[in-house]
Amino acid sequence: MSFYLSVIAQSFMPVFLVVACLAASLQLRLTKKTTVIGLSAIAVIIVAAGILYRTCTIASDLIELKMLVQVLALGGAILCFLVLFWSWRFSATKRQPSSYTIAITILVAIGPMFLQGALMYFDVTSVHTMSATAVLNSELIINGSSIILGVIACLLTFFFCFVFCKKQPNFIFPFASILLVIMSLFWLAQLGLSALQTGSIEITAERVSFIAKLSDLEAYRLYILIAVLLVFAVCSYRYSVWQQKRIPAGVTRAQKRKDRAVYLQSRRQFNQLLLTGVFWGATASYYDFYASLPPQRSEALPVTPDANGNVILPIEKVKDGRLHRFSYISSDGHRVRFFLINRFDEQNVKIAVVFDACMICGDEGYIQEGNEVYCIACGVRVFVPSIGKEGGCNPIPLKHREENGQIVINRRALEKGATYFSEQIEITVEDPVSKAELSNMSAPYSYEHDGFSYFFASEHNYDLFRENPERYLPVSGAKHPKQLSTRG
Amino acid sequence: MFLTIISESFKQNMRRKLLAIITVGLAAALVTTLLSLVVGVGDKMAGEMKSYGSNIRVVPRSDTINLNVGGVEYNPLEGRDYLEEDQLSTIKEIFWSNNIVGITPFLKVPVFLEGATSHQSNAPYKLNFIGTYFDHVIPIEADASYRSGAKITHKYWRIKGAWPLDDKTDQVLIGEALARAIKANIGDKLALIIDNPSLSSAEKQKNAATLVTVSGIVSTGEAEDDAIIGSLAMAQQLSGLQGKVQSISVSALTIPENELSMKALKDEDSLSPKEYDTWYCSAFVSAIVHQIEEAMPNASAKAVWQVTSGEGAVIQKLQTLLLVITCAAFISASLGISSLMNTTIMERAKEIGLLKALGASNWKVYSIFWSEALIIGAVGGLLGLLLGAGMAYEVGRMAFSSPLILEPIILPLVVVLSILTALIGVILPTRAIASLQPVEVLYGR
Repeated sequence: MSFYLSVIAQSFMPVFLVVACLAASLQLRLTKKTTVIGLSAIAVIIVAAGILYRTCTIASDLIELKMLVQVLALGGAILCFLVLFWSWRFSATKRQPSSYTIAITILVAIGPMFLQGALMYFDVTSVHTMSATAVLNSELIINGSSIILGVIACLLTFFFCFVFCKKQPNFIFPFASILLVIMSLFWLAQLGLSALQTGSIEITAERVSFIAKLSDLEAYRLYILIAVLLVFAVCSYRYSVWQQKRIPAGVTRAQKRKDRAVYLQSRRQFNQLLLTGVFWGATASYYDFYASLPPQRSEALPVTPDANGNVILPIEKVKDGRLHRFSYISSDGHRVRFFLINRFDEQNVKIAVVFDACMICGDEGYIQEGNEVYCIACGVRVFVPSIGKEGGCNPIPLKHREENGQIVINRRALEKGATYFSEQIEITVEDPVSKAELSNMSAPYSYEHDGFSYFFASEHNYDLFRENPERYLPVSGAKHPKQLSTRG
Repeated sequence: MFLTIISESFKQNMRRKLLAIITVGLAAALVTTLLSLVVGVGDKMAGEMKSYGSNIRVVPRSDTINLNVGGVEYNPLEGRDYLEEDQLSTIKEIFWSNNIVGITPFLKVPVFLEGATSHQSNAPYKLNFIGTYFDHVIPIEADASYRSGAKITHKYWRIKGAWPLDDKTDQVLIGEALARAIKANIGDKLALIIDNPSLSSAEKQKNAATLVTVSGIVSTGEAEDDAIIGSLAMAQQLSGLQGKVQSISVSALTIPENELSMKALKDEDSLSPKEYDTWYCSAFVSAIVHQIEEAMPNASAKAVWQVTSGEGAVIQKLQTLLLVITCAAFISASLGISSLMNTTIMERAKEIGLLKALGASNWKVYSIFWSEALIIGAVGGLLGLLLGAGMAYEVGRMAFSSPLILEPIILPLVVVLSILTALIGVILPTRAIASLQPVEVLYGR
C-alpha cells in the first residue's frame, strides 16, 4: 500500500506544487470550467505517457524517450520561472493576461513536467505486480485504493497550496523558484546519467562523480522538497501574522472582527498545508525506512583460526536445525560470512557448511524464517537438505572436514571466500619484510602469495618479498600473514 | 450548533432516515455477499500464485495434442504413449535441480479383481492399478542415494495403516471408496488380473492372478480413491510395459509469480534477452517447467494450479457479471436516497432559508446534508455487512459446501461504497439549495 502512495508522492506531488504556485501567481480562478479542463489535460498527459512507455520495449528507446522528456521538462521549468518572475515583478501594473494565455502558458510549462512524472511512475511500477490474478482480491483492492488515495491527496495538495499561495503572495516566488531549481537539478542529473549511458557525452571522472553524488541525494528528493515547502510556509505565515499585529489600535469593533476572521482563515490554510506536508513526509518515510527494507540477517559470530590455521566448531552446538552464521576476516580485510545448518533432524545429523553467498545473486546472504531458508536477493526458498550442493541459488559450498564431533574448516578454504564478499573492513597488518604496521586500506603495495594477501610499506619491500617469499615467512607452523588488529 | 441541527433532523424525521438506511443496507448486503464470493476465491488464487511451493505434472508430449471433434476434446493417443523410467533422474539435472523436492512417477493399468463382482452386473470388478514410487531411490549424478516418491510429493494423502515398502512389490494401498465397495481391510489379500482387450477370454483365464497385500487405506479426494496403488515395478510387470511410466509429479520450491513470469507464461519469445536471463535464473514455476521440457524433449510439463483451474476459472468468467450487479445495486440505492432527500429538502426549505438569512454560506448548508448522508451510509453499510456476512455464509455452504468467510478487506470497502452511494444520492437534490432565496422561502413563496 505505502509503495504506491510513495511512488505517487515521488513522481507527481512536486509538480502539483509547481502548478499551484503558477496558477496562484497568474491569479487563475478555480471555476468549474478551469477545473475540468485542467483535470482532463492531466489525465490525457498521463495516458499518453503510459502509451509511450508501453511502446518503448527496447531499453535504448526508453532512455532516449526519458532524455527527451527531461529536456522538455527543463525547458518547462525555465518558462515557469520566467512567468513567475514576470508576475511577481510586474504584479503592480495590474495588466491581467487573458485566460487563454494563462491556459496555454500553464500547459506548455507544466505539461512536460507531468509527462516526466508519469514516465517515472510507470518506470517504477512496471516491475511491481498489482495483483497476482485477474480475479478481484484483497491485494488488488488495497493497491487500487492506495492509488485512488494518492490521486486525491495530490489534488488536495494542489488545492491547499493554491489557496495558501493566493493569501500569501510573497510566498510564491521564492518558494517556487527554489522548488524549480531543486527539481531541475535532479532532472539534469538524470539527463547526465542517460547521456553518459548512451555515449552522447564523454565519460570523465568529474562528471561521473558529480552525477553519482546527485543520484545519491535523489533518494531524499521528496524530503528536501517537503522541508522547503514547510520552511517557506512557516516563514510566510509568521510574517503575515506579524504584519497584521502591526495594525494600530483604535479601529472599530467591526473591523477587529473582520481582521480576526481573516486571521483565523489564514491560520486554517496554513494548517492544511502543514498537514499535507506531514502526510506526504510520513507516507514516504514509512515506505523508505520501514516497508521497503530487506529482511535483516542474523548476527554473524566472528571466528579466528587457531594456531594450526583451523576454525573448529563443535557439531553439538549447531545441530539444532537453526542457521548458525559466522564471519571471518580474510587476509585482505574482506569479511567472509559462512553458515552451518543441520540438513536433516537431530537424529540424523548432517551438517552443511557453506558461504553466506550465492553464485547468481551475490553476497546478500540467506536467512531462516520458521524452518525455511531463503535467499534475500531473489527470495528463492532453498530446499534445506540440498544445502551444501552446488547449483541453482544454493549457497556456495565451503570445504571442510568432520573430526570427532567437530567441524574443522581450514583458513585456506575461508580465504577463498574473499572473492564472493564485497564488504571490506580496515585491519592492521604487518609488513612481512620490515615488520612495520600497516593498514590494508592505505598500504601502497600488496601481493598475493599462496592464497594469502600480503601488504608492504614500500616498493623495495614488495620487490624483496616477490623475489623470495619463503624467506620472510615463518619457518614452522602455518604460513599466513599476521593480522594485528581489526577495526570496524 | 452543527451537531444539534443534525441530531434534531434525525429525531424529527426518524422514519424517512430509517428508510434511507434500509435502502443502503440492502444494497450493501447484496454487495457484501457477491464481493465475499469473488474476493474469497481471488485471495485463494493469489495465495496459490504467491506460494513458495508448486506442483508440476509431466506427461508424454503426445498426450497434450488434443483433437477438437465437435467441441469435445478428444485425444486418440492419450495414455498410449509413455515416458521412460530412466528419464526421471534428468529432472534432477536441470539448473534448478536443488529446488526440486520430489519426483514421483505414475503408471495406470486397468485390472480385474478376482473374486469380486460389480453391483450392476456379474462382470468381474474393473479398476485401475496405479503404480508409483512411495519412497524409492532415484540415483542421480550428484547424489546416488536420492530418495523420492509419493510420501514426499503427495503429503496430503491420508493413510490408514502403513505406507507400502518399495522393495516389497506385493504391498499396496487401497483407495477409501474402493475399500468400502469391496469390503477390503488392512492385511487382506487381493488377486488382480490384467485387463487387456486384445486377449481372448481363454487367455485371460490362463493368465494367473497376481496376489497383493493391502498395507493401508488411502484417501486423497481424487481418482486414487477408487484405485489400488502399488509399486511401479508391479504395474510394469502387470502391463508388460517394462521401464515405462505414464506421468510424473514433480514438487518444487518456487518463488511467487510476477509480471515477468506472467509475460513468459504467455509467450517466451516476447522476452528480451536480458529478461529471458532473469526469468531463466529465477525459480519461477514457469522457468522450472521450461527447463524440465528442455531436459526431456519428448515430455510436456505443466504447473498444476488447483484453485486457479477449478473454482477460479468459474469466478473469472462470472466476475464481470457480479461487478455489474454490484454497480446496479448501488445506483438503485442512490436513486432511492435521492428521491427521499428531495422531499426532505422541500420540507426543510424554511430552515435552509433561515440559515442562509443568518449568514450561512451554501457550503455550510451543503455540509449539513452531506453529514447526514455520511451517517446514513455508514450505518446502512454496517447493517448491510452484518446481513451480507450471514448471507454469504449460507450461500457458501449451499454452493461450495464450505461457508464463505468474510475477508477483512470487504469491511472497509463496503462501508466506503455505502457512504459514497449515500453521498451521490444527496449531491443532486442539494443543488437546489443554492437556488433557494431566503426572502422567498421565508415569505412562503
